[in-house]
Amino acid sequence: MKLWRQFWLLFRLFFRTQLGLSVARDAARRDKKALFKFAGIGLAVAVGVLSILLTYGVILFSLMWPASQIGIGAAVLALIFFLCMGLVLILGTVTMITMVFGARDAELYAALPLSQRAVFLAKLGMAYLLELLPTLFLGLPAVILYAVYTPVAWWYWIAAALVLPLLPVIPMALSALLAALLMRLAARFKRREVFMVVGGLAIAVGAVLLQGQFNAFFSSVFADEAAVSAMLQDSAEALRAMTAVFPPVGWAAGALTAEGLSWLGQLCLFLLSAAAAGGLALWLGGRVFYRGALAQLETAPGRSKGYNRASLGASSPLKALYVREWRMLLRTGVYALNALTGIVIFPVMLVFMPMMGGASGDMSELLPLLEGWAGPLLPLVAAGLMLLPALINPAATTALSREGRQFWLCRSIPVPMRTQALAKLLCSWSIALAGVGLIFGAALLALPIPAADLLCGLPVAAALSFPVTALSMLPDLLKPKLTWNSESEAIKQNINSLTGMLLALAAVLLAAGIALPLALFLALPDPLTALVLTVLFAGAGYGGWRLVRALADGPLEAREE
Amino acid sequence: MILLEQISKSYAGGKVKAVSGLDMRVKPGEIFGFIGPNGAGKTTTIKMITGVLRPDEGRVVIDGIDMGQDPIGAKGRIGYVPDSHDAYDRLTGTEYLDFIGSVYGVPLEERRARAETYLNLFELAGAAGDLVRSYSHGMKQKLLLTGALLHDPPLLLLDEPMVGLDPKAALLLKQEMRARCDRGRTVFFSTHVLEVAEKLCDRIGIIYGGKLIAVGTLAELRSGDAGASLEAMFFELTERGGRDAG
Ligand SMILES: Nc1ncnc2c1ncn2[C@@H]1O[C@H](COP(=O)(O)OP(=O)(O)O)[C@@H](O)[C@H]1O
Ligand SMILES: [Mg+2]
Repeated sequence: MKLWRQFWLLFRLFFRTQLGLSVARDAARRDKKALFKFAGIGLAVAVGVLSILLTYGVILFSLMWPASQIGIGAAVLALIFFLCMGLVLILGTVTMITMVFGARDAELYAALPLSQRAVFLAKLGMAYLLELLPTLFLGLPAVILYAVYTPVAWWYWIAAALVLPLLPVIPMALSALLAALLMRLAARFKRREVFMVVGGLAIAVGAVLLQGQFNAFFSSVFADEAAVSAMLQDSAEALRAMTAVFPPVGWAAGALTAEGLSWLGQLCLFLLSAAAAGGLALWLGGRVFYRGALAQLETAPGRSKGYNRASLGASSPLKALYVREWRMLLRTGVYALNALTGIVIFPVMLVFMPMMGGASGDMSELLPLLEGWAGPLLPLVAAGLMLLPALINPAATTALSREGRQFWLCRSIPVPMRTQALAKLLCSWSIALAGVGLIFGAALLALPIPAADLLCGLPVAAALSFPVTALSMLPDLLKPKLTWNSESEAIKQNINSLTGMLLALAAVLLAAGIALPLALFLALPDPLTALVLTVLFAGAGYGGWRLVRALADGPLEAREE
Repeated sequence: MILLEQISKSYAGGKVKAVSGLDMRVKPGEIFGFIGPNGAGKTTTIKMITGVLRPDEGRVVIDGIDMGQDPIGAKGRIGYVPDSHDAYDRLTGTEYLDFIGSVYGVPLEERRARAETYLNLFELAGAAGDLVRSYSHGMKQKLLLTGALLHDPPLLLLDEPMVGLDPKAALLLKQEMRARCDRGRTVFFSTHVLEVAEKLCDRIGIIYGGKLIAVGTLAELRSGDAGASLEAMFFELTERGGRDAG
């Protein structure tokens, strides 16, 4: 009983803090205009969600309707449930690591007379709420559409009301175990950040590869007419295929769609499995939660003792700032992960996708098409490919936000803001450049684009990556997000990373819009075209730097915080 | 009130020995000052007393309750103000106090009365409705103090409480500490400012390199070389402690 009181207390607190209810209320109280701002944001989000929901509904309809015509609506429902659970497993693991086990506030609650289990339970409750949203989003339309096209009995709705909210439980339990295991492993490593980054990158790469497998699987299934009709004919077989992977999906779907009285049995099985998984996760998490969360706060001792030579290495302020920028980026797991994902993922995709047969077909069909075009196109396409990581470069788009409360340090050191901005720009550009180089290498290995064309694209991409990086930094220079409670908030829940990305995209499109006609008009040999474009983009780079400098000297210097 | 039996704690898998074999007893009604240079292990010790950290070895007993066996019971007797307070930024001061009051199960009337008293005392009442994140360091410190006093705990544990307080608030805090002791409550606080400890404490413990190198009343500590200031003694002791440890 006591446990539930504590749980409820904490849950309300988390609800308020996580959703920023107090913040919103406070802002509205101070300033009536803020109310409109919040309403506007809410409206925009609602419209966005609604439009996605509509699209999803159309897709679902085009699946469910024909399926129910041949009596396999149940399989589609099971598929959707499967998707829900898979989604929750992936999202849940991230939530668990960042919000539950990685929470910095664990230390706070540890000092209060609250049971560890209540704190864990409340955290889990918040996480559940977060996972429930996508579950209902995906699941509810399917449940409704199924009932529209297939006659259902009265108990269908009862079973649905029980099954749907409980869908996230099993995958969440799995992700809690997974997260606990990962944290446990990480705690054993001396350099935890390195572990986090390498692990995170491995997961990202794995996800890409898995998706490739998925695509390959689907394209092979749909290519084979017989297989499709066989699958459509026998819904039970499809169900069995899915449930072989993960039985609770079968029980969940069966509870709604099974014939006769067997729905009751399936429902019981599902409820039991959910209760068992949830109970196990709670029991285990309630015991190791503090230990896991508090271990996060420990830091490993440095390798070198004293004020060693390395720390005296930098000579000029710019160099020192540049080095500091890299250190901050690499020593914070979340930052390193986000900053490096782009330059790892794209090359991996380039190398592995064709091997798995997913994209290679399209690629080889595309190529002759391109070659039929005028000469300079291929180097430009290659340059565009190499610029992909520069487009999604959180190191640049959140360069100032990451300073957070440390921003006063930037203001108090006797180095002009423009120099500090330049250090940040150079650091982010280094990452973009690394991306250019890595994709160049990957394309050389894996893509059927001639090496000469790739070589011509290389300097163009390298030159263009500088203004692109500079532009994507601008929103953060103008309005950095300096108050945040966790690093992931600074780099991920930051509007600047979106606007910065859009600016970068616009810049690349503009560059393409200039480069293409220019190249066609000049009609020079490829290397000469590349030279002209490189010089042109280097000039644009100078312009980009002037913009960064102007913002650093202006709004940033004047900022009071 | 506090009984520490041979507690040890190391960080980073044994690489950093923060506290080793600490034995200590704090009596009810005492103001106990815990002094030591930066990195001596004060915060680590305090976190073990509050139950935030679990000692690798040894036992913590609060008011006769073993922290390892009944953490909730033990924590309920403590009011704790940590040395850093970055949390609860997204709550208002009132919401924070409400939460703390509920957690410690303070009846509504009592809660309101105490909150009002201390908020007025610290001249924080005007800001109580604002978000904590708009507070200055000193204001946060005052809010946390108010929260820690809300349930009138038998043991008040303060980690570097004077840091960031203006002179007036510091004086108020010292008076409050004294008043609590006169009522038989216990106060335990850490500081690296010797003067504060010298003026205020009934007894003093000196920690250095994770070890308690001296403990006693000011007079007892002085008994060796009469009349020496705490400062001189402190350097004497830590020098010697440093040689012993090294
Ligand atoms: N989270 C942590 N991770 C690793 N080492 C720590 C951590 N916290 C403290 N330490 C180390 O433990 C020792 C004692 O620190 P602390 O108790 O904070 O000292 P004090 O509060 O007396 O200044 C120091 O050497 C410090 O470096
Ligand atoms: Mg300390």
